[in-house]
Amino acid sequence: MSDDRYHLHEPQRTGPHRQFANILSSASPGSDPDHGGVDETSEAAGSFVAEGVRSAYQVVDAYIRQGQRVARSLGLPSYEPPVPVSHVNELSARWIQASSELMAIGFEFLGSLAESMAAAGYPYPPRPGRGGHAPTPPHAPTPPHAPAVRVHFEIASSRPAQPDLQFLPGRQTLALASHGLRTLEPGVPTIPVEFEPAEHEGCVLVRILVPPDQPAGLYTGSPLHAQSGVSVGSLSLHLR
Amino acid sequence: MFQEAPPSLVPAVLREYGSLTREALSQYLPSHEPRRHLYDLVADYPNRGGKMMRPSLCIATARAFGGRLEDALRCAVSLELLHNALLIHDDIEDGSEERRGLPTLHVQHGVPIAINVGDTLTLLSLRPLFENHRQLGPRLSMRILEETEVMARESAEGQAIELGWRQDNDTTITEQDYLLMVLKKTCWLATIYPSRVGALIGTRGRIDADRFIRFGFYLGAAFQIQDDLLNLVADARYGKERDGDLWEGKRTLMLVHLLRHCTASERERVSTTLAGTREERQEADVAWLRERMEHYGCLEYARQIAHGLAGAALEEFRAAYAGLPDSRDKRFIEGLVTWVFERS
Repeated sequence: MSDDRYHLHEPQRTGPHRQFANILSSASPGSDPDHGGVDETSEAAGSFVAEGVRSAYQVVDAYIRQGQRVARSLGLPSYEPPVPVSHVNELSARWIQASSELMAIGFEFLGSLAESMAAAGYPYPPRPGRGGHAPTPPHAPTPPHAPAVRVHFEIASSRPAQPDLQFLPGRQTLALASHGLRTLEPGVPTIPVEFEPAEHEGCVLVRILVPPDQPAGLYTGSPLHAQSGVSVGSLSLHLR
Repeated sequence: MFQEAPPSLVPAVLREYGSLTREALSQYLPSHEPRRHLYDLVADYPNRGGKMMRPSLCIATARAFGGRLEDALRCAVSLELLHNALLIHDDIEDGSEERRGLPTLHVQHGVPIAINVGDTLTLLSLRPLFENHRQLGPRLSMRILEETEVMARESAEGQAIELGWRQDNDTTITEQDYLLMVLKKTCWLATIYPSRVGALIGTRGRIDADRFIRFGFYLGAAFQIQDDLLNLVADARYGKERDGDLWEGKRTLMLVHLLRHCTASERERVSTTLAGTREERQEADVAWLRERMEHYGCLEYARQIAHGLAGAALEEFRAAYAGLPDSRDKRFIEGLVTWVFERS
């Protein structure tokens, strides 16, 4: 074995070098050595700059430590050094959280997709009813996301009258027609109904003329889509 | 040794990301009534220009960590809106008369209107953060909102510290006091928050954001001290009133240094001068303060400290951005450290 071993020299320093005064000396166009009385020598300047930077290190170190203490006391994640995730419960909680977020995004996506399809003219998906799936009429009276129709009633009646018009979901329309309102009692005349789109867009006027001798009772009928004749809801009039 | 980015890189990226941010920001400014006393004024400060350092740092950090520009754009917009909101309120609190080369908003339109415009800009800055969930998902979006709350609180605390010094006419402030105030008031909004949020976006939340506190602090403190220096040597490009900080009695590193080195009788005069309001101060008082600062080398001292802090920022940059491949965005962020001293 040779005794001619290589020995490392003792390091000149064992701590971080924080005398940064000269690092940016080439990038200090505003620096004027003749200006002011501080920098008698570059060594002196380096000394007070090092002191200033050391102060800054102390400030930020103390700040971070304080932040970590506050965060721990409040149970906050901020300012906390990252903790390796190995605990099963922690992983489970994160898995559940991620799954719920994914489901929310999934529903949002499906909602957007349905809106896009509707906008492109695809028929609205049939809704399950009591007797199974309600068939979509061959000429759907309204697009599924038509703006809401506002209804005004104009009723000529000698009796107190309470009208009600309900549209089926997705079947609101201004183009309405009706066979009139009937009661279950035999022999009672039908009450005529007229529909008229009002001046204001999205509003329909329902005009009901009740004959003077019309008996009290509940009168019902179907408002129909004026072109296709498809029922779009229910119309009732309660005469007292 | 430090390798400078090409001198043209930082201004070029600031222009590019700044332009994109401004374009996106305009979509968040309402154009309906009431316009004369609100929404026209809300657009005033953003339209005056600005360096766009904050949004650019956010976008560049996100991209340096592998993110997409469009993922960081909303945060960049929010940052700029909030920055302008705070400028309006700062100008009122400081009694400033000029901002970006024009009279401040409260000088033009009165304090009540200006306060309301600042409040509105603050609220408008929330909208892009709420919309983040579309691209970033609910978890990361909520994390960014939490970061925003921390940043806003730190900024308010920093402002409170500085306002308290002025209100109490405190002349016992140390350099460490000053640096802590700057850390809170300036650095969180200007550098720490943009870096943290950018990195969170770039890594989809998989990073310890605290690594950016040190880098952001040194860069932001160097930026603030240089800004205060420019206030004393400014030309028309600076866009603020020359010696405005002295007129306002603002506690700067130069003032801290002066108070530490001047004689007892001088300290008494400094204290008396600072005790009055801006209106009570005389031209001769400001000129005397300025002359004493030069006599004691306060400007050169602050300049040296700013360069020392910038050196520390470079060290911390290497730690915070360690392991990332070389990229234009990474070079831009590193280049910001020297750009701080090159801007006018």
